[in-house]
Amino acid sequence: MNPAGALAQTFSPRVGSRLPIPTRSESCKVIALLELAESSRIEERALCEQARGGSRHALGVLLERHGPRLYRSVLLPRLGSVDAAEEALSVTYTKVIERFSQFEWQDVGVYPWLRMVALRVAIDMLRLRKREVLFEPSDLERQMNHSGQSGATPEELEEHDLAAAKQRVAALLDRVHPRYASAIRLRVLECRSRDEAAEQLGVTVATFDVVLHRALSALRKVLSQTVEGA
Amino acid sequence: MSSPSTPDWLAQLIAEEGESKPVNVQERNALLCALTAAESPSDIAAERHRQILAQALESVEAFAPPTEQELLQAAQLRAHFDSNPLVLALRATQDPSPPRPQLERALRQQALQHVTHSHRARSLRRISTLWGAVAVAAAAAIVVLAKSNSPLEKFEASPSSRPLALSRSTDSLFTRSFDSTSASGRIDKIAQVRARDLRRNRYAIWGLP
Repeated sequence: MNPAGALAQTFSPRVGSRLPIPTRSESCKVIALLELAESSRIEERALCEQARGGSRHALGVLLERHGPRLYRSVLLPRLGSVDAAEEALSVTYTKVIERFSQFEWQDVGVYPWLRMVALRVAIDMLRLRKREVLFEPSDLERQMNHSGQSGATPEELEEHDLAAAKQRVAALLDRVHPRYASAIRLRVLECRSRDEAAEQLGVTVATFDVVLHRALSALRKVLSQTVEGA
Repeated sequence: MSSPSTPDWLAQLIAEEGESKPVNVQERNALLCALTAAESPSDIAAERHRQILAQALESVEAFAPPTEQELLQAAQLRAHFDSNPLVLALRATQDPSPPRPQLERALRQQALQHVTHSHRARSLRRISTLWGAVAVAAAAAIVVLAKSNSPLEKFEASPSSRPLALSRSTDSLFTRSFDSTSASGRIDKIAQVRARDLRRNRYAIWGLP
């Protein structure tokens, strides 16, 4: 875990439990992590200043640092295909570079701003794609509104975005028959073999193929209903 | 003596029956709901009823023997399982992979090529305000220079290691006739192949393997 992530974990309050009093060595570790987080924030702020001044190098460092995270936690889960996510990352980079002069430094760093740009790009792309996507533009708009006010770190936002994507899959599977949901979980999400999935479901492999076909059709229907509802 | 919080009758009742366990708000609400439902039950909401009915019918379908068409479709799914768009979307959402490092670097480099141009344009605007006609001449020179260095021209001029896909008929994409009443499958196929061509051309221009 990186220093900021460790910090977030160290300081996030646990409901219903008392925080243990840290030992001397733990305290030293926390102080060291705090200093590291502070120094990286200062460094990022300097990079942002340079980037606003048109420094190609600074922009390159910032995008190299945060781009893969945007792709993995924001774009790919919401757009649902590698091709679309790569295209979205390209558009995001271009937009970030075009608009970086508008960025104003916040204590949480540049990542929340980059994430907002990526979410806007994803929304535009979702509006054009109506098939085989698990998210609606309105879902992403809600996420933007919800997370825009919080001062979360990049690691916390990443964790939040990945969890939201998983929740979306779970919510969609809840809307199909449990037998279908099991078939999709086993074969698609857990990547089990057909034989293994069939055995788990207690059917022959041939029957499992049909169940999986029906399951994906049912899920497609749920998605189309979601589109119509939106 | 009566107090605002404990009236006489309640004090007497407590004296006779003893202190009763305080009622939990949730328990009280649940009890009220149960009493209301028993006393004057309301109709089920139409949308909720539709959902329940659909689930029940889905149950019938989930265990029904397969039709010939379903067997064919299941075989098609099995053959193209790993490229099925919905399968890919589910996997990408549940467990997304990081971007390919080489491609991410190429995208970044391509986007960064715009930095020099946009920064140059901003500087140009300031200079033109200050220096008027002299700066206009300089701007013209810079614009000419910038145009000659545009990334598009660089891409067009860069040698491609691979031959690029050309526009062509869609006939070769279909080995057998398709159902004319539902066009989406055919359109999807054409869109998929054309998108792949575009992507490969782009990568070839960027010099990616």
